[in-house]
Amino acid sequence: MPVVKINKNYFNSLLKLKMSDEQLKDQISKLGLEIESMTKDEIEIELSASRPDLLDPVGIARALRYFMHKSNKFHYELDGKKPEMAINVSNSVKNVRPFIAGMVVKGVKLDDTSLQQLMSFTDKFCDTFGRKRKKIAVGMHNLSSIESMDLSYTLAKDERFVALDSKEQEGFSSILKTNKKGIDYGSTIDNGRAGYPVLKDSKGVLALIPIINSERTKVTESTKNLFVDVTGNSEYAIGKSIDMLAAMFIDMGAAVYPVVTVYGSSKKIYPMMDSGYISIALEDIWKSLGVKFDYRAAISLANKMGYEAASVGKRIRFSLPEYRIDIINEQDIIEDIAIAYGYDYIQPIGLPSYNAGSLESTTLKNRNLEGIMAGMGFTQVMNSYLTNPAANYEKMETDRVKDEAVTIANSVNSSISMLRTWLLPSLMGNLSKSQHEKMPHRLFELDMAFSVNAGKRASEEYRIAAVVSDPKANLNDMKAVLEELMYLNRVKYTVAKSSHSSFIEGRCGEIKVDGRSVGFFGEIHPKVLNNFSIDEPVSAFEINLQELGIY
Amino acid sequence: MHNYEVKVLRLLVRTNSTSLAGLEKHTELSRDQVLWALHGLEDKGFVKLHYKEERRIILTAEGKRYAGDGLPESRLLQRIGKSEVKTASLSSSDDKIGLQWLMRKRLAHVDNGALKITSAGEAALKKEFPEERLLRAIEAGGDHNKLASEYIEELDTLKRRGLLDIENVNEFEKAEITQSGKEAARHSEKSKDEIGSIDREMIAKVSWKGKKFAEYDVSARVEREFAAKRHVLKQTIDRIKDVYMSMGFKEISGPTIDSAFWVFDSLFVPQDHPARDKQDTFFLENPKDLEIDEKSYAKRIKEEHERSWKYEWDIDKARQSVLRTHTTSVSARFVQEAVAKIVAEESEEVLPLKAFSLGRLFRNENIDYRHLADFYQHDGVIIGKDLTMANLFDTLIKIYARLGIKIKFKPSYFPFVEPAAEFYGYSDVTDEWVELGGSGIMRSEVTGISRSKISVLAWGAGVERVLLMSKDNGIRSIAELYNNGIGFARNMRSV
Repeated sequence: MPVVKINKNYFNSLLKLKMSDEQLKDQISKLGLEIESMTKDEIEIELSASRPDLLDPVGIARALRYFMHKSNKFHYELDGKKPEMAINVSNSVKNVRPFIAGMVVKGVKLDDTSLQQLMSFTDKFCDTFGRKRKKIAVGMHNLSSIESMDLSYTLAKDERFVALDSKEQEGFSSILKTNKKGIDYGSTIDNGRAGYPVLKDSKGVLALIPIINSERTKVTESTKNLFVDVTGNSEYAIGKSIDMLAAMFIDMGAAVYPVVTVYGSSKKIYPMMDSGYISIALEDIWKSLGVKFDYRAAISLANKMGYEAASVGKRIRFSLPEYRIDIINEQDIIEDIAIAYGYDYIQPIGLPSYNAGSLESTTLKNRNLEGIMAGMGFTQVMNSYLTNPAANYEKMETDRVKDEAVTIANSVNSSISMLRTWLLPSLMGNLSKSQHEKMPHRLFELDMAFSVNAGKRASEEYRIAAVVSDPKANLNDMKAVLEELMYLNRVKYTVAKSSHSSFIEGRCGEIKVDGRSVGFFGEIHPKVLNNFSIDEPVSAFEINLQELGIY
Repeated sequence: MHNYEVKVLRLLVRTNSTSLAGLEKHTELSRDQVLWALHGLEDKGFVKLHYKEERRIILTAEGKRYAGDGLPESRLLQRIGKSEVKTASLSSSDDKIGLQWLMRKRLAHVDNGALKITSAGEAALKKEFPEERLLRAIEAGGDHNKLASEYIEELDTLKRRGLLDIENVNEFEKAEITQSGKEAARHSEKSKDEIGSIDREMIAKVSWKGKKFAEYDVSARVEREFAAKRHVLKQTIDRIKDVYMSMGFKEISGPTIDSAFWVFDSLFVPQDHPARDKQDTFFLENPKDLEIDEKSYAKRIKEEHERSWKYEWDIDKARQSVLRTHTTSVSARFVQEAVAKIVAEESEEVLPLKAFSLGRLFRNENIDYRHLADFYQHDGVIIGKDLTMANLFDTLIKIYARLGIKIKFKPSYFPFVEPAAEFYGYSDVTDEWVELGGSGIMRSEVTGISRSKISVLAWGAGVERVLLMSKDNGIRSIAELYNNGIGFARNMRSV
């Protein structure tokens, strides 16, 4: 989950409440966020992944004020302000990045801190909710540097402009290759293969969308008025996002003016400041929480979470805040009510058990086998399922079988590229790292190994394998262990002479049950022992328990 | 006195003092047993032990390599003895070291960018370098004391070059019996008639009757026997499974290798969600895709996603095979099937229906000695009517109480539950609240049925943490549990 650093003075200026550090910590935690650290100057908060409106100090301060009943302004409006600007959208952007919304923000007071917090918020928002700018990207411009009231959003060829924080003109294609933003986000526009989405005024390019703005319209501490654009591939998401941003600027003391988006013959005016209602039966809230309270209490809890609410018959009507992007349906509101009520105050209520509990037969069988192995002096190990061909095949002197292994496409670790197909390599690894321990070494593992069968399906099978390493380790002692294991589990088996490249030729037996091959045992070849730097002889067996037919 | 001590003491009376090898031979005890007996006797004041100081020379890794390959300067000298070597061509670190030492020993000089051998070099070429001879003698197991007196200067040089270390150790030389030791030995002779070990014959013939049993030292220190045992983590897994069973839960399981559909889509995780990022999830190359039931579940999930998240759902992304990133995929399958049965009134079980699973999950993260890419999770679901957060909290509090852990809840977010609660357990070992898992009431988008008809409580939590928190086995990180060395296993105490 994202962590945000907030300047404490700035935060307090937004919060406008006197609180001790402890109180602040407590309230923030009850709201579902977590303070990671707090110093004299800075608060570090771990945010919830679901609430983009809480990604910035303005939103957190707003939520806290509601939570402490210090605010009863539940709605954000543009007070009938009329659009002064328009964005004309060319049909050409349709298949690359179709949607855009804009707004004008006037009278914003920025300083070093608030500007920096604003930038870091939009970055975080575009990274998380905006899916690394693929779904949503936000651009901010100095309004006074924009030359015309009509802007155009269109797909352009490779043009040149001075990008943010650059001195020289540079072509779009070059920006995608050399500028950090270009490299990071070029894939969102398929690296300009079909053309470059750009926002322009009468003078030229304002932004290569959604990569980088122009240096000309750069926002600084002295900027008073802003033009803000939100672009993306979901009309719903850009509309919600610009509403949320508008609420944030209003809370920062600015005035927000709408902008018209013109798609051919149809027009949209953003921000829409959409609200909407969801009504829920009070009883349904009780039924989810396991707590009863009256209408007045329910409304008060709703207010704590920033909802304006009223009772209508047996239901409560929640009006949705304009800045909330995350609410899908009543279930989300019930959660907010639960948070407002406080998880600590929900009294646990027991549930009856009418059905008998049960364990899977595999669990019971495995426990039994593990008990038998421990009884014969073997200690259990539990190894990773993840491995690589060198460990699974080469060190064991066996050949790779084509398409046998379950292989991984995108591992970040070079030592992990497949799932183990058998257990013995893991056990040999365990012996290898135990060379300095007192003899004898007797280990077993009972767990899964994986392969891909002929039908291209993954097979997951329980196996049991054991190793003995000491100066006198030999084939027959291991067979005696096997004999006991089979006897106790009522399995009749036969042994056929076998050759297996991990074992000494002539000292390996194949274990058969009803003609099926279920495993093997024998003395490990010295070549394999050398591969693992094991100093003493090792005898071993491995059995496929699914094949054995005892589950 | 232990009978080892008696054996050693009696031998010492006869020989007065003797070497370790002599004691081993005549008492027929092992070296460890003799030393153990001697220390016991010394504690009682019966013997005086004498040590001599020994020099021990230990080669460093580099020293060992040179003992095999030869010193860099001798190898380089041989090369310039054969043909001209340009200093610019000397790039390996061995060559650079060689150059430095040839110059310092004045065995070569640089002339016009080329190394030229000096007359001292010519002489040196004809015989083995004394430092090299010393290295080889040490590696071959020569007498360190003797070598130390023969090669005083070379030893010093090699030590400064970091090729060897010299340690002085006290080696046991001989044991000398004291006056009180002699008396104790005499006393033990007197009790010769006392019975030591009893044997088969003695028991059968009752020949012990009327004799005295020698008294043994019950406080003598012994080394513990190593028990073969099941893995501590497996013991913990058993405890958790038994707790679930005792509370009326039925164990269920599901595939480790699964489709993204069951791991993500069915749990209402949108297809562009960061949790599905390539970085976090192991996507498989073989098998690349898995079949999913397109008609029933997939159709419904597609509708839910498109309605709620407002994007076009792609069935191909759902087919991708992955290593499950949580065992909640097992719960998702179970809930889908169980709810369908309940709706069709085919379920034999009475509500609330409780089920749990416990298995391995995978995270595509960088592994090191503290972090692993696979570990365990337990997952629970309760399917019933009007199940509440109060029921959820009660269930989890009881499960963890039976595991000896006190827990608390905090609001959180998971796409598949609403309300969602994270829970933390108090660790007596580290004295802090530790995050254990997530829980909540499953969204109707996941269960496929309105909550007013059927509601489902669900949770998932780490398994290894339970072990780390509930008993101090000295384990601080989950990765340590998978050490799997024999020493580790032997030192793990019961859960």
